[in-house]
Amino acid sequence: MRYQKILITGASGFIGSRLCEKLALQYKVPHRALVRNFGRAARIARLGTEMVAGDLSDQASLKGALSGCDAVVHLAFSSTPKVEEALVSACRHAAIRRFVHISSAAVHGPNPGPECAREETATIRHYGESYSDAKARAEKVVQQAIDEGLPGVILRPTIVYGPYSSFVTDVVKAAGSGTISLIDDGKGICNAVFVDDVCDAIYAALDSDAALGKALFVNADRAVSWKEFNLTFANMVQPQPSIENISAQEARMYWASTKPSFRSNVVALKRLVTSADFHDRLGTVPAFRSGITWTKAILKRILTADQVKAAQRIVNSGSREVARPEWPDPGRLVREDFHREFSNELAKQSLGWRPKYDFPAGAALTRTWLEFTRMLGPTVR
Amino acid sequence: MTVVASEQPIRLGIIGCGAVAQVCHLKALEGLPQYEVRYLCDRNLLTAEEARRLYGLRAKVTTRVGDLAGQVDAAIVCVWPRDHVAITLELMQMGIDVLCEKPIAMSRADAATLIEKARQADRIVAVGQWYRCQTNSWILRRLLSLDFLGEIYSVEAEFGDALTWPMSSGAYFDRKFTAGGVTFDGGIHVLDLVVWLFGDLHQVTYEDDSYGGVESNGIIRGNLEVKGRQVPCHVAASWTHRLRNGIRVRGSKGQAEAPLRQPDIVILQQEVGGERLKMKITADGVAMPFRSRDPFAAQLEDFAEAVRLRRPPITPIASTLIPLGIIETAYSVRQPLPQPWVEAGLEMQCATKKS
Repeated sequence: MRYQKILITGASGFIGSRLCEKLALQYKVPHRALVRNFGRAARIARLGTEMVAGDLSDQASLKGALSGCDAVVHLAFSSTPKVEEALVSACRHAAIRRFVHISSAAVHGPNPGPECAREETATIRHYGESYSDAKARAEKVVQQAIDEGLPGVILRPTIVYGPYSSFVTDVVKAAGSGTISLIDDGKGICNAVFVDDVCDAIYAALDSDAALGKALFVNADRAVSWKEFNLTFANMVQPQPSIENISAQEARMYWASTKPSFRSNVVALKRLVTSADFHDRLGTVPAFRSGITWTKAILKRILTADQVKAAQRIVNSGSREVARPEWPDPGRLVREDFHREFSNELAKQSLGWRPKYDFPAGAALTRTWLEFTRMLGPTVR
Repeated sequence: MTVVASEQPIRLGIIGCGAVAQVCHLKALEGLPQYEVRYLCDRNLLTAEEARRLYGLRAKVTTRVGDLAGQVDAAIVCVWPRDHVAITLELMQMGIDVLCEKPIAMSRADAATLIEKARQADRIVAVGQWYRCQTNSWILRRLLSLDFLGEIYSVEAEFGDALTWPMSSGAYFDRKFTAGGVTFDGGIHVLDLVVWLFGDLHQVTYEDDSYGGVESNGIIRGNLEVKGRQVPCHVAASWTHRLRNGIRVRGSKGQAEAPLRQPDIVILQQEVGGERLKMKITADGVAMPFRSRDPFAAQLEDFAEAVRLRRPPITPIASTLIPLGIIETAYSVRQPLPQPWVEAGLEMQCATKKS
């Protein structure tokens, strides 16, 4: 490798930690980990990797972190593009020779059209979805810096999984509780790429001049369905969990109903005031209890028997809370109700890289880690 | 020499006002009338001030340990392991009794030196091995002394969870400040319990996941000698994932487990009438050497009494020699912990190169 030292931002995260492992143990390249929260750095601490405390929004801290480095891999996520603005500015001043920005295929939004399958035609817009929009804004800043001369490469990994991945541990934890859910029978496309393949692509992006200035999808050779992804990990758990299906449309309607609007507030308030549980709880407050008793007595006195029954029907229509399947959170809904496969051809051509792990191989290796952490085996329940 | 009248609160200083002091000791001290915190000392004055503000103390703040001379009777030391010995010595020379966080020293030899100096200075020095002050540790000890579990077959002690300890720098992982990773840090807690209950560990083998830095997973294996028999024991510690977090003893008459996070109970499993029953044993009605149920408070309670009565604490400095010696042996015979998910990619790279 031609660099003196590579600065890794987001080094204590899922991809960053594995990248540090590979840089230290496989590629044997000098590198420095920029760490904001040392409480998360135990995994890279075992490598003897140089760690520096730093805050990407602080210029002085960035200057210190970049000192002696001539390449940067930017993995840290931020909800504001000010971080990227500060970082690319500091990189220009430090005459950084290669900047690898880890963006995401999510920059093409939750529902990308067929033009987004390949980088040459893929478009980036505003989607009203927080993660996609944040990654899109960050990439825009970096792309502009590249256009202005920063020697950079943008990588857009798809669904990165492997040891320590929350995509995997969430499924295993749910399976351990006895039930996992699929969204629309898991028909959505899962562009699963193994974390080691992403790290190898990052390394190739540091090395390859053919990739300079480009934005590249980093994906496996073959996508799987979310059913295959989720059930592969869920079925590692014994006894195997039951599976419930959730309609993406219903889940979307549910989340739409929770957004603050006049209608959703009225619906929620009606649900609250007609809820029997709410009345029970309200009755535990002595002042309210006597108030409720008094109101009931007054109503019985002034209403007819039929009117009292009608009022009781309204109150009881709220019924008690019934156990219902947990709605997948909006982030999961976006990921799994997804119907576009991304090509990795340009990345292969530009980086001289190719993924080494198909999904079964990546899952098998992830399994060894799950067993080590005891997430699989008799202790899971 | 410190002699504290029993009706007077012990004047206390805290050296190192970071996370351990703030999250554990100062919190426990809030409920203990035996102490009055007089001094908060930290190399960063802002940290000392933060601790004072957080707990609404009227204590003085300083960056110099020497300021505590004549002002306090006892001190709690919560600095990096590297500085434990030097600061404890300095305090002892000022006539101050010390409760020092674990591990007391970077090496067994340093601990031995400190023990001798404490003896010469006639100071009380306790070590923050506070799991010994959990009620269930004492219940388990009682069960073992009564041969309640019969012939002991195995002992497992584990301490582990994803690390969430608040820290502002990487010193926690830096060999300049500490002698090791999780085995030296959290592992010594459960190792101390094993040694307290059963004595020394022999034929030690050790695996950890270090690749040149400090380990985040470590497993010590060895044999305990129990009534002339060799009993296999493993002590595991992790900073990456949850372990059993407790000590489990299997015997011919059943199995007993003292969970670290349920300090009041021992879980006993025994065959009764052909069925395996699980029972919870509490210490209700049993005399304990401390009143507090919170082990930090219990340890401070015990330390206060040791200072007042000039008697050894439950966690005397001398008792740290064996655990420190075991860890030193473990590190000297270290073998790599198998981590196929780490190494598979590296093998693949080698295979590619060969091909």
